[in-house]
Amino acid sequence: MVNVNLFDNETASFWRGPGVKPADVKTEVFFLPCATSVEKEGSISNSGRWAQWRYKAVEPPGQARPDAEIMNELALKVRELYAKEGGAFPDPVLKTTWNYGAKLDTHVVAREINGSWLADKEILDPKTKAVTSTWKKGQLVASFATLQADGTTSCGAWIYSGSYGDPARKEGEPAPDPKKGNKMARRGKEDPTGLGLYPNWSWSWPVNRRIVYNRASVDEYGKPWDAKRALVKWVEDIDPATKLQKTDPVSKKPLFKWSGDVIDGGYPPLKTPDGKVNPDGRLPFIMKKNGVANIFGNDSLSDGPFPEHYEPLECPIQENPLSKTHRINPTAKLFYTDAAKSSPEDVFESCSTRYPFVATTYRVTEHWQTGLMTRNTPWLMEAVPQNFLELSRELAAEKGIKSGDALKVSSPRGEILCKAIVTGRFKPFKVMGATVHQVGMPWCFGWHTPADGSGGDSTNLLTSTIGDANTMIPETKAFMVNVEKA
Amino acid sequence: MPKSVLVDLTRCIGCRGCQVACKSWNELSVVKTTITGSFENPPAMSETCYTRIRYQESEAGGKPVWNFVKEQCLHCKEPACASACPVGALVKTKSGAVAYDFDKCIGCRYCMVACPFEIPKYEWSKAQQPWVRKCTFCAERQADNLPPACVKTCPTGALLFGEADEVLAVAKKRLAADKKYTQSIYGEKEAGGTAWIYIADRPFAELGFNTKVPLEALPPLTWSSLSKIPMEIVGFVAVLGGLAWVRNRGPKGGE
Repeated sequence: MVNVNLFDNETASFWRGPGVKPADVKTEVFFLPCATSVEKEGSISNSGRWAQWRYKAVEPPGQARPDAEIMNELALKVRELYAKEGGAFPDPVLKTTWNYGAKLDTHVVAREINGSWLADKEILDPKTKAVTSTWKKGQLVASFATLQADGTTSCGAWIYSGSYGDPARKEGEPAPDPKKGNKMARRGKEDPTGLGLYPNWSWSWPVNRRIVYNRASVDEYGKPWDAKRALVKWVEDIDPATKLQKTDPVSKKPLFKWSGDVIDGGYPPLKTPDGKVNPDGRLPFIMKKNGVANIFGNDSLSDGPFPEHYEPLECPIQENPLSKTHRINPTAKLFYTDAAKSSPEDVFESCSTRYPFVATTYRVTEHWQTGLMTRNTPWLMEAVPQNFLELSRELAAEKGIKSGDALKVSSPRGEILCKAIVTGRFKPFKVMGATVHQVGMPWCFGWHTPADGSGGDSTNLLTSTIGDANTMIPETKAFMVNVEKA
Repeated sequence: MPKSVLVDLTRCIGCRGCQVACKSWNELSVVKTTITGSFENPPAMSETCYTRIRYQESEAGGKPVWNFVKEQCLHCKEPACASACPVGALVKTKSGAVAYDFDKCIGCRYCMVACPFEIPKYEWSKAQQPWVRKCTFCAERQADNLPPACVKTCPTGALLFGEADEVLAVAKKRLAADKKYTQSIYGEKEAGGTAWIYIADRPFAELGFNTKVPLEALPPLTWSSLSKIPMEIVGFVAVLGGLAWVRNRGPKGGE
């Protein structure tokens, strides 16, 4: 097993975990320390699709290196071996394009993702067959619109085409630093629409469009539904030199254009100014079958399109009150088949007197995901030092539990230790006439860090194994447990 | 112009960004903590904790109410700690910070007794050269025109840093604009007024604030009690001062 990580953790050290005899473990484990985000250069895309370039602030400590460098060096070594020793099927390894250098250059990767021309090419207008643009081998692809199906272009991810450009070269001057063409590194603070689009800050996929389906913000004449918040607008195309509206060279009709955000599908408005349907117009949701928005997703879903209530794999009631025939989602992915074939991590017991309490999991602001980074940050560990279980005053009274007590929490899949927090923020429910208690736990702890084991164990040892029908997201927010004083 | 911070407790979400940012900026160490029954940790203000969030749980109408209260030095306009200090190690600066001079301190801890908010803490854990530690109002950051570390990191705008009169005006404006606020500003008059002021949607007594603090400046009171200290103690202080001078004269750095 090769573990590339910032810190040693429960996974990398599984062979010396609680109850494991290292001598019995046949797995050889390699741990390769890697750089954090501030110790390497590269891009990060946010949920608003902005690919923002980040610079290296500090060198990684010790032998730690960026993941990409580790992968590059491993790949080069593997290639070396294949070149020397051959192998069953060496071609994919030896003939794949892998030209990031002996010491990987992140910009080379970014340019490869953007795409480039592998041959000289003239692009013709599909109707007139006139040459609309010419490209030279080695030039970067300007946008996904020019990607070719004939092998003359290469592109790592079409949505990022245009994120990196060739910087303009002035006549008689030496070639500029290619890094100047990195649009993800742009830091312009202008906001011409006043809507917070900041079109010159970083680069947004695709084609620096900040809002997808942006023509949905205008009426059939291209007029913004909300004049005060005009995202795009159909306006007169003014020649900056003459200050006059441009006209079509053939028909002599006045020309209009879209202003504002990069238009999504450059089609004209649905209607012409005289109220007639424009044959060139298209509905705004261009990636949807009917060109309009969907309230219910209906494309290739296992489960859908309408929402339905199912009980979790483990629940406190015998029957789904909304469906007598299906207690759980019939299209969910189940891993448990029968006791002989399934692993102990996949078993479940619903509506069982042995596990009477509903458990849920959540995060705390102080810890991130499994706590790999935050459990190694003393200030955060001081604030939230160990695993806990929150329970209602009512359940605490029933079980004789006080705040701060050590607890043993068990599910059909395991058992962990943690501390009690008795709180009014949890209240018993009345479910189908019966009182049901709920408890809650974070899942950011584990035996490895802190080293003295005081953090407790991972709540993931208790959660059930079932995958959401559409996404395979595990059902870790609802399962059944028992709680006892340890 | 003195600076001030408004703590709007209705905007605090208890994320403790301030608590960690303070530790980070001041490079403070940690104590070993455990879960004792709430999210509150470390358990108390200390020489390694200049600010922290107190979590207060209660019920109203059968529903849980969770309040978060930021604790730190209030930086009194006329600090009792400074007037109690026999060697002038604590001084009120023009920027509003009650600053501490490590070199002058003789470790008498009068400041700790004098403070009505029990803020200054002593480095009991240190065998050599223990000092009094407390929030510095990030005086060194302010000198660089930067807000205090806790204010800088607050994601919800619960902390507002600025000119004292402007900050007070904002507090008054918020109270006037929204009836949810308890119609008083903690720190406007307490102990003669403090640089850090609070507004909340519950009475301050219910939020664990010391509402018995005199609404007048404390130094005159401090001085009246200090003046009654027997000469033996004053002499002892003088001896301590002498020791401190000897100590501070010794080699520094490279230890």
